Amino acid sequence: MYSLIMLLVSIVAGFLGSLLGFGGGIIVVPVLTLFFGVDIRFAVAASLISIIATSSGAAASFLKDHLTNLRVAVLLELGTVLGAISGFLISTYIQANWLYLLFGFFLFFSSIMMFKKKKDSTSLVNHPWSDKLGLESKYQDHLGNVIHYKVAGVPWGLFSMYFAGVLSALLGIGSGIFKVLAMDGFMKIPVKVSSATSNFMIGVTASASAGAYLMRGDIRPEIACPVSLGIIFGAFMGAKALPKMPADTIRKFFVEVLLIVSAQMIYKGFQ
Amino acid sequence: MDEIENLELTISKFLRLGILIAGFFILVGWLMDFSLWENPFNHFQEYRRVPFMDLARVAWAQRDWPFFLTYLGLFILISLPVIRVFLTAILFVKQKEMILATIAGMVLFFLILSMSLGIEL
Repeated sequence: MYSLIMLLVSIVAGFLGSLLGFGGGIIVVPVLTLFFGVDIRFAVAASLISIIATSSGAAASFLKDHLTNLRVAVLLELGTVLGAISGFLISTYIQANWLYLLFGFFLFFSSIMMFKKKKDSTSLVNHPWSDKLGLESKYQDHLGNVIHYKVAGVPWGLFSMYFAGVLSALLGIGSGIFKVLAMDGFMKIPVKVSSATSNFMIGVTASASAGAYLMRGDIRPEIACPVSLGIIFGAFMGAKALPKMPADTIRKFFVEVLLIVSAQMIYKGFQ
Repeated sequence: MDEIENLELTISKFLRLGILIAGFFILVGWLMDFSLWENPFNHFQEYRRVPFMDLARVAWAQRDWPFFLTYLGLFILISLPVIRVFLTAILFVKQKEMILATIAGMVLFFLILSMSLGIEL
């Protein structure tokens, strides 16, 4: 019964994640910890598995939309993977209440970011590394215009990805919000491109720590099975329903839920 | 879309098949071990670290096949991004993009290294 409830919650998480553009971790981890009383370290490890499932499953559609910048993705994966390894090592020593606090603040930040309108910032010049690696590219907007863009601030982008990787491993999240912020803020990559490139990268980031968590024994089938199966199924349904759903209305409701859950996680962290 | 992205698209479609195979093993393993009324989450309210190798040793002694099927699915799932990075490195080598191929190779190295960290700790 409990496993079935978790399966249903994960289906909803996968569905909403696919609809609103986030990984299922921000739903799955609070439900497992606050509702089922699972230790946050087991919940984080199970959540990473679901991120790999959704990211790998969606990689083809991210590429098909011609928005993903593969060269940028491969370069930045170096930062996120190193960060994820560091996050895994930190998780060995960090106490559970710190993880609750960190997760609570992350949820609060995520809900604020969901309200903010994303605006493109562009650069007129490439960073020298961008010239060397051929990172600048182009995409087509919704009107069919071809938009060329340059890639600036590559070292800062790479450095920020390291911290996105640390958070991913510590909290069992995709860190998509931070990746998009860094690509937009430091590297001046258009938001559409940075969102697609971030989605493409999160599976590799999650895999870096998930492998280590699995070998350490933190990924347990009793939790990971309903979570991963539910999220795969929910994300598939969400992708199908996407054109018919009022995403903005759902987003407004969901942000309020996130704020309440973030307060509960922070409260648990102080207990 | 350049040639690398076309080949990546083919790999990504192949990985989608990998998800289905992994999902199949996870589902079968989970259903074989499924109990409607038991609360499996009760066992995980306190964090106790039991390395995977120890769990596997006990499961082998008990011939716990659902355990192995589920973990086979989980291993396949975790390996999918690793395989993608490996194939991407090969694609960059074919394109004579040696710097990007080296970077992809480094990502691959760190991904494999991370698994060994889990064994040692």
